[in-house]
Amino acid sequence: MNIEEHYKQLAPRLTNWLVSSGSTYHEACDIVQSTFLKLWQMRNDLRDDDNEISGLVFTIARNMRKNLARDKKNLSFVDEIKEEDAGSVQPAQSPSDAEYLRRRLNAAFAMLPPILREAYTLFQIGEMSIREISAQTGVSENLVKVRIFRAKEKLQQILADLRVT
Amino acid sequence: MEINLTTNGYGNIGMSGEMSGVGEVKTARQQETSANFEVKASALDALGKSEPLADVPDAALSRDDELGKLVSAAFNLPPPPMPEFKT
Repeated sequence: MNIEEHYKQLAPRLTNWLVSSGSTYHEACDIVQSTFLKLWQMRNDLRDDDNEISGLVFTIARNMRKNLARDKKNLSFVDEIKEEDAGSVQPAQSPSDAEYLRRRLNAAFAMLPPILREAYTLFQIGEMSIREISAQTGVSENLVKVRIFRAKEKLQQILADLRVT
Repeated sequence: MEINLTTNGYGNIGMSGEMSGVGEVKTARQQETSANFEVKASALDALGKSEPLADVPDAALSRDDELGKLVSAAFNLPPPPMPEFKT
């Protein structure tokens, strides 16, 4: 798989994961593009292993965001994502519904302990496998499963008024 | 209730006393230890570190349950345009 194919597969997941974990949409887009440009520069050193590429992309993006936050010192959980920032987003039902849901979910994610939030968002939004998350976070696969499970339990409590089960 | 603590000079502690009613008697040290455990447990829970390592069934990790569908629908933002990869 070449870089362009990796981009098509990973860029949507990475963009949404970044937004779900604190970046604005514009920041997320900048980070995604910068991440893949860096990956392109590293192309000769990459092995053709999809799992490895996926983990590497998320690691580069995470580090870029840390650097951005350190430089700007203004990273916070965003509950103000303007709909126009979303470009040609395909909303859940209507633009206001999708925006409302993102705000609610971002607020709910912010209430989770960081390690639960990371495991859940990588799993659900980053669409990473348990094995990839284990490699990414440095904990056992079993512990990753426990963290996702606990995150889901807490989110269901927090979002009880939305009647999610 | 009155509890008397005495030492025998060798580091041993004796306790005597009377209790009326029904309840749990804890020395000050036990109460302190218990309180410490409660504080630590709540702190660990806040950090997400009090993690039981029981097996989680795969069905409980579905991405397609109601919560998962809601999250996927909300976070469906388009990626930025692909940058030009030039040598």
